[in-house]
Parts: sequence; structure tokens; C-alpha cells
Amino acid sequence: MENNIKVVAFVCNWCTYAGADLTGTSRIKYSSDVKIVRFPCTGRIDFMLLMKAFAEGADGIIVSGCHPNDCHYTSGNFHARRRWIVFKSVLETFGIDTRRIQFSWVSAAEGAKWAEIVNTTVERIKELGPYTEYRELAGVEAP
Amino acid sequence: MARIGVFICHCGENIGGTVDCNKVAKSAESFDGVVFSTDYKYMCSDPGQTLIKQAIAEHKLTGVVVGACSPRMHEPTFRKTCSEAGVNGYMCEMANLREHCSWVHEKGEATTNKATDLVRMLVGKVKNNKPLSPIKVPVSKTALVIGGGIAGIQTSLDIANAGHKVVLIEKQPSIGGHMSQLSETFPTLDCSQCILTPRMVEVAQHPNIELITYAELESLDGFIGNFKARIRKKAKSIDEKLCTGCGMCTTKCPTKKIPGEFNEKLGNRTAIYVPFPQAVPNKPVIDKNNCTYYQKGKCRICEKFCPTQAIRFDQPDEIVERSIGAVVVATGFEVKGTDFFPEYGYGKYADVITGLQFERLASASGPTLGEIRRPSDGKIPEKIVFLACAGSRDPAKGIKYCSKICCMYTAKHAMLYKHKVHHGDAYVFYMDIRAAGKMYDEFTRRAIEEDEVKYIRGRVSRIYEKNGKLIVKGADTLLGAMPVEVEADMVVLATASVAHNDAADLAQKLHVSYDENNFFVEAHPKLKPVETNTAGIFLAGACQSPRDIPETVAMASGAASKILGLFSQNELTREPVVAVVNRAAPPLFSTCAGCFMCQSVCPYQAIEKEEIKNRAGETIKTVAKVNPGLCQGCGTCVAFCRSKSIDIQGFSNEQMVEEVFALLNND
Amino acid sequence: MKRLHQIVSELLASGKAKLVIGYEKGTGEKRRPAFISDANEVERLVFDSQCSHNLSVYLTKPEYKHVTEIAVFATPQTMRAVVRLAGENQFQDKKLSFIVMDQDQNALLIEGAEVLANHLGKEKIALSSAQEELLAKFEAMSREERFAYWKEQLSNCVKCYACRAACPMCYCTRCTVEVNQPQWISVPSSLQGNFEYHIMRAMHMAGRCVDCGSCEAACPLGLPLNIITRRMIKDIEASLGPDIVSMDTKSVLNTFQPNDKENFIR
Repeated sequence: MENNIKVVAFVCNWCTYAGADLTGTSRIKYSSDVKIVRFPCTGRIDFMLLMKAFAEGADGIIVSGCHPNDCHYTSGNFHARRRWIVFKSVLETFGIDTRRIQFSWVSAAEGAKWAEIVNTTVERIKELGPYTEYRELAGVEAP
Repeated sequence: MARIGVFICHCGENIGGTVDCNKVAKSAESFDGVVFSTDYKYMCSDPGQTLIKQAIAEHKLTGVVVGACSPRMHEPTFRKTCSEAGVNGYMCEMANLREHCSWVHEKGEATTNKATDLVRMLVGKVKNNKPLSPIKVPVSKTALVIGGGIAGIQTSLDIANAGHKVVLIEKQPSIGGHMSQLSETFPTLDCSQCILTPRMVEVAQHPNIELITYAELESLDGFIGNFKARIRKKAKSIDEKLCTGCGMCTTKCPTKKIPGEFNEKLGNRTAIYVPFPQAVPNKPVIDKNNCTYYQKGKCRICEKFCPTQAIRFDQPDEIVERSIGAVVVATGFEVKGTDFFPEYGYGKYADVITGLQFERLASASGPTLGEIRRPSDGKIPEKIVFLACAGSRDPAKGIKYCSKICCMYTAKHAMLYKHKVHHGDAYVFYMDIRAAGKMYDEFTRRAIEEDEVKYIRGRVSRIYEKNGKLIVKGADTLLGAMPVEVEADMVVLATASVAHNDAADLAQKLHVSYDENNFFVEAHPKLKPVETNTAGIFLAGACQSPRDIPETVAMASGAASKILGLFSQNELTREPVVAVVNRAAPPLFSTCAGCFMCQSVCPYQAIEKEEIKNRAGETIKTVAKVNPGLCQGCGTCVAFCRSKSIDIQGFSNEQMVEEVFALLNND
Repeated sequence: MKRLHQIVSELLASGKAKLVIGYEKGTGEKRRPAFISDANEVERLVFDSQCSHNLSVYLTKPEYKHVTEIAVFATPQTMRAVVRLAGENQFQDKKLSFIVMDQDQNALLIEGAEVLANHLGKEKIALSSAQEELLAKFEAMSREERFAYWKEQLSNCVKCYACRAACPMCYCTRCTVEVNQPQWISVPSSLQGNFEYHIMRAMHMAGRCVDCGSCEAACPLGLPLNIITRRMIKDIEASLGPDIVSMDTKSVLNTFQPNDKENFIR
């Protein structure tokens, strides 16, 4: 059970997706529990998608994009950063387990960093176990 | 109903060696919406593509998922395959089974399961894809060239001669750049100004070139083919239309002792000045920081003597706007200061000078009219020492890269000295002689063999003054690091070429990348040397890395030819991955609440206001509208919009949610 | 009160206001909104410290869409909301007047949202010490305790959307809650949908909430909704700087600083 966890990675096309491609071309190994969803930019990543991912069965989420100043669209990641600052605070208000979300900047040249982010995140999520606590909310009837 | 086909590629052993492709294809058959699924050794090969086309026809597919390599590699290939078989290319998605799966995981069930998950995820997305057609945008066929050195001049002339308009902006009062400061050029020793000034004049007189000097780029908005450049024309305090360039003002100006930039501070200029006699345009500007009137409120002597009343003390800076199709960045380099080498005594000893200062001393138009005279007392140096690599290839104190041009110009300097001071002695301390180039090695050999310049392989540890001589202490590494001491009359430091100190600011204005040394970054080091990662912006010359004149000119012509290619089309085709504000039937018209907070999120000013009017012409509602020509498809507005009224084609809310849903629901 | 009635009468008589949204006496000491377009009814209006309803919420309601000239009684919270709504382009086709109370409790007429913004000055939304105290208690809870707390609280939520209806900043023609392609907020009456709704509402309030307390006041089940917004206001101030009320369309989430600080992105 403990080994059966699902981590979804929301990444931008230009930096982290390309960085993860580089992890591949460099044949650096990482955990297969992570699946990557491609977005044009971190600016596109709606916080509601993270909520949906938890609801649908994700035990952990990675959100990753270009380093500040390196955004392909110049400022998408800056907007995303603010969004995550506020979102993290809101999630903490509600007692949502923010240890299950890893935000990172991984450039197209950081294939090794991507593998490292994935592995440390998966390790942490495995320690935390499946996020049934949140999924179970769906079964609790509210009037 | 969607009819999806799934095609799993083995990529030889690349995927097939780790993932059980056949099993993935079998599992995919049961995914909702999938009507056909198969695997094949090389899906991108001709037979592979034919297989897809046949399946599309046979099974009447409406969408395709190819499980293969990264979409960054073959997405265009498979989209083309689909459109050739009659399915809109944007109905095809790729599951990344190679870079994101087989190459990063070990062979086993878990890896095959992940591959299956990825395919199911993309099937979920494709079910919500919509056919899209490419967007066509017009091209405004005017090039903006930033920097009027030899790179900018060459690019401008090439583009203008091909019949297109050029706006050339230059920060200094005159074009010409560093090349106009040089005395003679290697390896031919032809006079730099003699070959450059005719080009400068050609630029000024060219009907297709708008030359704006003393100007800087304020901002650049838009995208390839459709940039809007805002240019700050700094106040010259002169009415250029009235000024005839007679030079009366510069002779009368009482502030005469300002160290001149053109002569590298070896000569003086006035406060109202023309940088050098062959300047283009040959009209003065007032240096406000040194002008008595601007600083103290009194003087106006130039105004009194100007025969055409062209002086304008109250002239403001002016911002002009130009529509631009492509940009060439040709801002060049600057010479690194030597303050990081205090042991060489630059600034402390007047006779320790930089290579660029030596160029001015050797130049016929320079402060000494071409005679090699040392700055301290005007004597002709009998013994001169040149230090190659004063800062370059020195990660500890200077910069780690090779400045590339110093070996050659140092050999040239030594030769020029010997040609002018026949009895003098010239020494060169060097690390290596890097003379790769046509006639380059022959040139340095000539300096050593014919002109008897003494080359010492070793570095200099210290320079100090003793009895009116500069003592240069170094070591000769070819003689077992034997200490060497030269009593010199003058020392020339071949200081490093570095990026301009404001290069990073400019890069940010242009949205192009720059490296750790603040040089602009080309799109590919080998195959795209003049392109940047921002479409429509090109590089020429030493702003990309240190370059000599022939390389700079070649690069400038390269950039020009790229732009001419671009300008040969009337329309550009762009990806239809753009944001769209929804529209609905009246009385709603759109769910957009018109808060326009998305406007400040958009990096491209692509969101406009649209007034929805009734038949009487009254505005009923004001809603947001995306200009598809400006939108670059980042989708930041989509994630920001509270009422979910903006969506992005190709990465729509439905597509992304369905992707997540399909990925996570495997049971 | 006399001055107040005089101002309102003049507004209605001159046609500067076709509708006045103010307060009148309700049950006991309570005040309730009053909508007046007839000068003869002016005497009903009151404006005192008991008035708390944020009347700006009515300005964006479809019922008053076609009334251009409206005068509104504005408490400080109402003023903030009006200024923010004006910044969000919601009063493009309106000619608004405001009746506010000055320091000496005298009625004052202010014409136009811009003038109101000047009157309000560069106000920063800050929490009172009582609010801070309440928050401190909440902050002291562990994550698990907070989750349990909201599980208990939100199990009462019936998603009646009274909080949304009372909020002056919730003016969208179509709320994300009603979007079903895709279904952002889960429909079945379960805790999950309730969590999603309230988390989303909080995010939509970021940098926009005027802290008027209308949402909590409107909740028929007495959910402590202000904890959510106030904790966010406090956190935003701590990490991104003070939340200034202005007519600028720019807000916390649609702007950025290149050097915004965080400590959790790797």
C-alpha cells in the first residue's frame, strides 16, 4: 500500500518539461510514481487543478517551471510564484497538507535537478502515505 | 463521439527495451473513446506514419495519441501525418514514453504501467481537443538595428540595399563604434577609418535607413513581425535641421578640458562637441553634465556664436515609436577596466595604458597625430612592453573566457610601434599566441621574425616605477620560469573585452537571454548563431561574444539575411495556441465580468476591451477580447480569470482537467 | 439627521440620483437597507453607528444595472469596496454619489468614485487587535487541528451561497461554481465540494477582500468565514506587503515584483 502512491507533476513546456526531457537523454533514473502533465507556462497552472488532482487521487503534487527571470513568456512564473505564495497560505488555513506539494524551478539544463526533485518528493510522499484524508471528504455527506 | 487511435512506438530498443509496448497498446484498447490501438517499431519512420494514416482512414479516427518520444521532438511530425490523412493536426497528442518513462525508469511492470497511465492521460486530453487552424499575422517590413558600430552598419546596409526599411539607433552622438577608434587593422594593416567612414556616410545617406543617434531603446513590445519599439532620443540641445555642422560652437566653447571618450581620455574635448572629425552625423551635441550653462546657469556662448541659431537649451528628450518586424542587436562590447589588477599600476602611472588607448596614439587622427608619444611627458618611448591577457583567461582576478582579439591586436600594436619607432624595442608577454584565422599566424610570425618583436611566454607579476622607468617584472616560462625584468618607457595592457554594463537591462527589455558574462545568448551555439530564443530578434557582433571585424561583419550579414528571409513573406503563420474570451448568446454575450484584471497579467498587452453594442449603437456590455496576433499562449490570464471566461486553445480547462482525471483514475 | 435628509432630497430633486440606497430602522436596534427613489420617503433614512451592511453590493446587482444615477450610504467598508469595484471597471456606465459620515457624525456628500477614493486616502486594510487575538488562537492550532476544525465547520455548509451574494466583490455574471465544463467544484453534497468552494472563494478574494464581514454576517449557519479572509489578508501583508485600497486595477495576484520572497520553492 505504502508503495502505491501517485504524484502528479504540473510543469511548464519550456523549462521543466525540457529539463525532464534532458533527464531522459542523460538516462538519469528516478521514481516511476511521478507522471508529468505539460502546460505552456507555470502561469497557466490553475490552483483549482491542484485541488482536482488531490480529489481525484493524487497523493503528492509537483509544480515546476522556469527560474525567475527565465520565463519564456517573461512573467508567467512571477505571477505563478505570487499565486503559490497566497495559495499555500490559504491551504494552510484549511489544514490541507502542504508538505504534499513541492514547488520548484527546474531549467531546461537541470536534468539532474529534476530527478533529485522527483526522488525527494516521492520519498516524502511515501513517508506521509496516501492522502486518503482529503479524498475521504468526498464520502462525508454535508447537508 | 470521439474515435481515438493509439499508436505506441518502440523506438527500437529505446522504449521497447524497457516498456512492454504491446501490453500498453492492448490496455489502451479498453480506454474510453479508443477504437484502435497498435504498436510498431519506429512510428516516426515512413511505414510508421503510413500505418497511422491507414488507421485513420480505416477506423474513421477523429483523434490520435502517439506514445513515443518527447512532443518537443516529434509533435510537428505526427501532427503533419494526421493532417495529411484528413485529421486536424491539433487533434493529435503525444504521450512521452521515452524521455519521461523508458529512459528514466528500469525495465519492469511499474514502468509499463506508467506508460499506460501516460497514454490514458493523453487519450483523456485528446477527447477534449478541438480542431484549430494556424493564425496568420502580417509582417511589418522594417528592421530595428540597435548599435551603430560596424555590426549595425553592415546589417543596416544589407537590409536597406535589399529594399527594406531600417531604423538604426546609436547611443553615442555618432555611429562608427569601436572600429572608428582603431588605427590600422590586422592582418592587412589597412587604415580602419579609411574602410569604415565611407560605410558610415552610406548609412547616413541611404534612403531606406532612418538613422537616430544619441538614442536608446526605451521598450520593445509585440512579437515577431509586429514589434512596437519606443526609442528615446536624448536631447542633443541642437536643432539638427538648422545646424550646418560648421563647428563654430565647438571652437568657441570655453569648457575645453573634458577628457574625450573618442580618444580614450588621451585628448580633450569641449562641452558642445562632435566626437571626432569624421562623425556621422557631423553635428554637435551638448554634454549637459559638463556644460557651464546647464551646470551653473550662465554662459550660452555657443548660442551667441551659432550662425544659424540652432542651439536649443530647452530641448527635451523625445520618445518616438516605430513599427518593427525584426530586431538586430549589435551593441558591441566595452573594454574592461584594469582596476582589478592594481599591481599593473593602471591609473597610477600615466604611461601604463590600455590597448584601445594605444590605438588612439597610433592613429593619424589621434591626439598625437599618429606619433607614438607617451602620455606623461610626450616623449617617444624607446622600450615598450605589451601585456597580452590583462584580465582574460584569468578566472581568479579577471574573466575566465578568452577575449579572442588581443593576441592579434597586440602583435599589430608591436608592429605599428616598430614601424614608427625603428630603433625602439618592443616586448610582448603572452600566455599563448592564438592566431587562428586567415593570414593571422603569418601576421604574428611577421611581427616576431621581420619586425623583431621580442615575445616572452610568461605572465607579469608587477609593474612599478623606478627612476622614471616602468619596471616590468615577469617570468619566462620557456626558460624554466626564469625571472625577467624589463625597464620600459611605456606599457600597454591588452585588457579584456566584456559585455556592456547595461547589457542585462537591454536583454530584459528585449526578452532575450544573456549568459553569466552578460553576453547575449544565441538560439543554438552551432546551428543558430545569429538567432536568439525570441523569434524575430537577432544578434550581430561582439554583443554575443568577443569577435574581430571579419567575424562581426559576417555575423551582421548573416543576421541581415535571416531578416530578409522573414521580410520575403507578407504573412507569418503562428501556432493557434492562444487565449480566447468566451462568447454566448444574448443577453449574456459573454460570461466575462469585465474586471480587466487580466490585462495587467498579460505580458504581451494582448487583452483589449470590446464594447458589445445593441442595434441603436449603445454599449450594453464591455468585455475582454484577446488579440490573437499578440497573444503568445502562456495562459496566465486563464489561470487568473475568476469566472473562467478566458480559456486557451490547445491547453483548455476541459483538456487539462480531463488529463488529470484520466491520469488518476486507473481503476 | 436633518442634514442627511436634506442632502438626499436635493440629490433626488436635482436628478443626480434616481435611486438612493441607504439605511432605515429595522427590528430593535438593527438597521436594514432602504431603497428610495421618492423624495417623500426621505424621512425613513437613518445613518448612524448601527449601520453595518455593505451597501455597495447592490451596485453590481442585475436589478440595478439599468439605473445610472445612484446615491449610496457609505461606511468605511463600503467605501473600500466601492473604490476597488471602480478599479475593477464595474462602474463604467454609472454616475454615483456617496453619503458618508465625517468624524463629527455629520453627513457629507461625495460625488464620483474617484473623489471617494481621494477621501478614503491610501487606506491599508489592517486587522483590529480583537481580530488579531482571534486569529492568534487559530494560528496556534496544528495542521491536523485546523483540518478537523474546518471539517466540522464545513459539514454545516449547505452551499446556499449567501456569502457570495452578500459579498460586494463577488459580482461575476457566472460564478465558477456554476461552471460544469469542466466541473470545478464537485456537485454532490459532500465535504469535498465545500472545501473546494471555500478555498476557491478565498483565492478569489486575495488582494480584493475589503474585510467588511458581510460574508460571515450573511451565513445562516454562522460559519466563521472571516477567519479565512483575515488570515489571508495578514499573510499577504507579511509576504507581499501592505494591502492598499486603490482604484488601480492592479492587485495582489495580477501583479508581481521580480524579487518577491518565498521560502518554499526549490
